[in-house]
Amino acid sequence: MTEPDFPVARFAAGPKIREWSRKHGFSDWMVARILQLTDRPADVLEGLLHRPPRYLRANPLRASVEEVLSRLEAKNFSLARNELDPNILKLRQAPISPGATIEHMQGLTTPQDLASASAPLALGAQPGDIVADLAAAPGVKTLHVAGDLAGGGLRERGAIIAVEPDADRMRALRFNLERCGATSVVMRNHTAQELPGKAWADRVLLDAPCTGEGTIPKDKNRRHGKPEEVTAMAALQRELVDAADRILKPGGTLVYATCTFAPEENEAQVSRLVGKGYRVEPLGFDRVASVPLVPGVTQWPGLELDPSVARARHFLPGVHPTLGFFVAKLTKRERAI
Amino acid sequence: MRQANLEEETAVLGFLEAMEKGLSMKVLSGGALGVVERDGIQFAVLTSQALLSLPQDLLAGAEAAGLPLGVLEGDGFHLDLQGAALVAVHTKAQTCRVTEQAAKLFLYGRNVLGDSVVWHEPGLKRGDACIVCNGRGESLGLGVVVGPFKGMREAVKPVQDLGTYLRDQDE
Ligand SMILES: C[S@@+](CC[C@H](N)C(=O)[O-])C[C@H]1O[C@@H](n2cnc3c(N)ncnc32)[C@H](O)[C@@H]1O
Repeated sequence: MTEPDFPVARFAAGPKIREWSRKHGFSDWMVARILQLTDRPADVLEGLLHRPPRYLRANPLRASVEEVLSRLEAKNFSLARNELDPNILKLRQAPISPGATIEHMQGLTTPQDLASASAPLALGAQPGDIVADLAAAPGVKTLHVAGDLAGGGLRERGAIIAVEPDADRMRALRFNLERCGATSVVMRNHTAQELPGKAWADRVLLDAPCTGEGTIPKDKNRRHGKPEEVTAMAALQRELVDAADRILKPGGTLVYATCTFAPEENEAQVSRLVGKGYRVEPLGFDRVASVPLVPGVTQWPGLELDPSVARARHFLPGVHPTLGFFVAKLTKRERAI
Repeated sequence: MRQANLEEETAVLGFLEAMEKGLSMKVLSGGALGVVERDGIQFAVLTSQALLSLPQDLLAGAEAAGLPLGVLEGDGFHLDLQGAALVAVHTKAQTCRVTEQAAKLFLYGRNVLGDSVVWHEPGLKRGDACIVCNGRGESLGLGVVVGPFKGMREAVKPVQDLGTYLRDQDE
């Protein structure tokens, strides 16, 4: 049975928003929607225009964060740690691109936005787990999960099934995991919907393909969009959510994440899972750079949202020192006895 | 993706033991050997028994899996970049170490000159495959010895280097 598409809510863009959007080359319907998510509209507008700090992550499969720090500082990099993820380092000063260092080539580091670390952090993979990463390339989060499977050692225990349908992106995934020394990942070049079997994964990470509004600060091409794109992505995401639900064991953990703001692609998908008997869990962290994360919306025109989706969180550029990101952690109901 | 058969395992372990006695145990360190076929090439990969015990329909047809150590050809085996990196952690056999400047050039696919080699395994001779390392003994890639380890002539010709991974992808 196919479900009707979520309608894409439109808000009237007042003259100020229209003028700002025209000046900076944005679609005004999109800006009007984004501003509904925040009580700091001026900061968010500013954040949409400027690239946030860059970060890299020390790869625990290769080296400790202390070793990475000392090697890069010896090359005149200036790096800062943060309270969300001890392995992520903010680049305060970089004499060369961090991707051109020998440490990158040896797999000691990987570029990773601080917000994007929130999804594997919420997933909390443990050594011995069987994890499915349903939209994996280029593998930034797969690698993070692989590090967690090693539980502080250098060798993973357990396995990750990483799925990516795009052949070029699959190549990037393969290169990244190889470079970084992961031994626990099976990479499959097809859609998540085609993944076989039922109830075999202890944890599922669904970092879903999305309209990518959260990446606007680093990609000007994203400033334009059509509401139909949100509708189309939401329909694909529903299929991916169903695939995640099929392969996750009862009692297992599902993390749903996107790099977009649109509630049709975020809260609506989470609420749908609640309808299937999932529970939305607190993430286990609630702030970044001392600034509280923004709770999931529970009211949005055209959507009926379960109040528990407020436990999901948004990262908002301009409010947080990151790109835009959405993350929710859910547990699947145990089988009825 | 499947478990390596006895013949394949013997090829890989035999190769490592020929480099240095006891090396295979160190490189595998409790892991298991698998084989992935892609584009008609058989890759020997380091993985775990947990991964090899996954349901067959999750393993069959995988594009990649585990960490590729090298390639199986005929009844032989030869090292790839990641195999070389692991080997260099555990032995100096078949390695040479080069200056920082030569290391940078090697990562851009350039030859190593004799005078840039600061140390080499005494047994290495012309025509041998070798692992090219930086001053810390970390593998930068694989090469072939083509000349003497002194002077301004080329000593090592690159075959494969970590510069392959030189990309700046970000999220
Ligand atoms: C947001 S990106 C994933 C980023 C990745 N998780 C990381 O951290 O590096 C979404 C990915 O989903 C892939 N994708 C698109 N349709 C898909 C489908 N039907 N099944 C699985 N993946 C899909 C896209 O090609 C894209 O690589």
